[in-house]
Amino acid sequence: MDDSAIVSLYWQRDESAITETAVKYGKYCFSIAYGVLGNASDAEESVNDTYLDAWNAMPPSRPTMLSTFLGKITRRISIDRWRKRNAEKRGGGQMEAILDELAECVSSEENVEQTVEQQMITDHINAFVRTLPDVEQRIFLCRYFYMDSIKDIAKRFGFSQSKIKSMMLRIRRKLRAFLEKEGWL
Amino acid sequence: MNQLQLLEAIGSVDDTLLQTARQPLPIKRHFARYMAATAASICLIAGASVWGARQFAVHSKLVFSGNVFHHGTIGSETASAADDIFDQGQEETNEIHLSDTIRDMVMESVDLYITGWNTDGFSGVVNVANDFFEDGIEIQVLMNDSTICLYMNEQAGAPCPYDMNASNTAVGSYVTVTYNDCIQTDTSIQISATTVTLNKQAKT
Repeated sequence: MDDSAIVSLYWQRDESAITETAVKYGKYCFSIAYGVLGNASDAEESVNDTYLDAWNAMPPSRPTMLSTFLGKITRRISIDRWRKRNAEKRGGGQMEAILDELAECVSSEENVEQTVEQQMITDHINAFVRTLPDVEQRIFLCRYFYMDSIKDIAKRFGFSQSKIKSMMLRIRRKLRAFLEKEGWL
Repeated sequence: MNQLQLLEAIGSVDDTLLQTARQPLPIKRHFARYMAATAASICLIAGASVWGARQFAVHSKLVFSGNVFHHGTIGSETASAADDIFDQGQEETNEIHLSDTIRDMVMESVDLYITGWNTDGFSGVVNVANDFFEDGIEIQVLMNDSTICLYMNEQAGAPCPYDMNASNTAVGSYVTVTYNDCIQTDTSIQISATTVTLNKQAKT
């Protein structure tokens, strides 16, 4: 079933929308959730929460790209779940490694203004990603949006893991320089 | 801003970027390599015609395997050929330029300094970071019968100071290695050298 038909089912409040979503995007959402959480049962719960969130969001939303719409919900829910779980104990998944890596690109200080300006950060991140060559864009997003492991990224693009690590190091340096230039650091 | 805020900001990137991120790379990478190899073949043929196919035939055995360019053979035969090449002066340095051009078109390379010789090549440490390797990474360079050693143009005409492949005297020398394969294990990175070019010789 194509995306527009699935979205229409949501708008008609037809519960088969969830079944169709699970058939088409269940694995996709699970891979994102698993990347964050590193635990199959937690990831499964995040995916189920994604369906519920999508059900509540449509209407009024009518996404043009259902995959990324669902992916963003899954990612947000999974990060929230990770945050709650991490308050109790440190878990698996790629989150800790990714947060360690991103620490190179940011300052350790927090302030309220910066929190409020999250949308501006997003705009700048978009601008930054668009400055990257195509391959680096993909690697950056696979790692930091989809939370794919280095091994999976290397396999996906046919590069060695060391090459992926080197490319990511260079991308992070660029990101830090970009954020400094834009006044975020 | 902290890491988590940055991560959450990345979560809102444009859908158009996300949609293509996990898709396979366009075929153009492979196509480009194919085209580069084809272009290299044409350059090689043209170069051989201009500068003397006879000298190529005498001193080099050119073999194409897939899209990988092998030039000559390693060992005493090649060392001897290299000596001859440098003895023949400026005309032969053009051949090195041609080789460099081809090498840059079809291969990846890394700059190292040699830390020790092994039975199947040498160990080196990266001294110029590139897209694939950081400074200071140790790499095992594997050499085989199709690997060739080259000497920098400035040395053309001078006698080759040592047999790069057979002695341990080059430890500390700076070289550029082109390679056609890279394998990473848990403990090491191995590259299969197609050429090793001496950039700066260690003092002996």
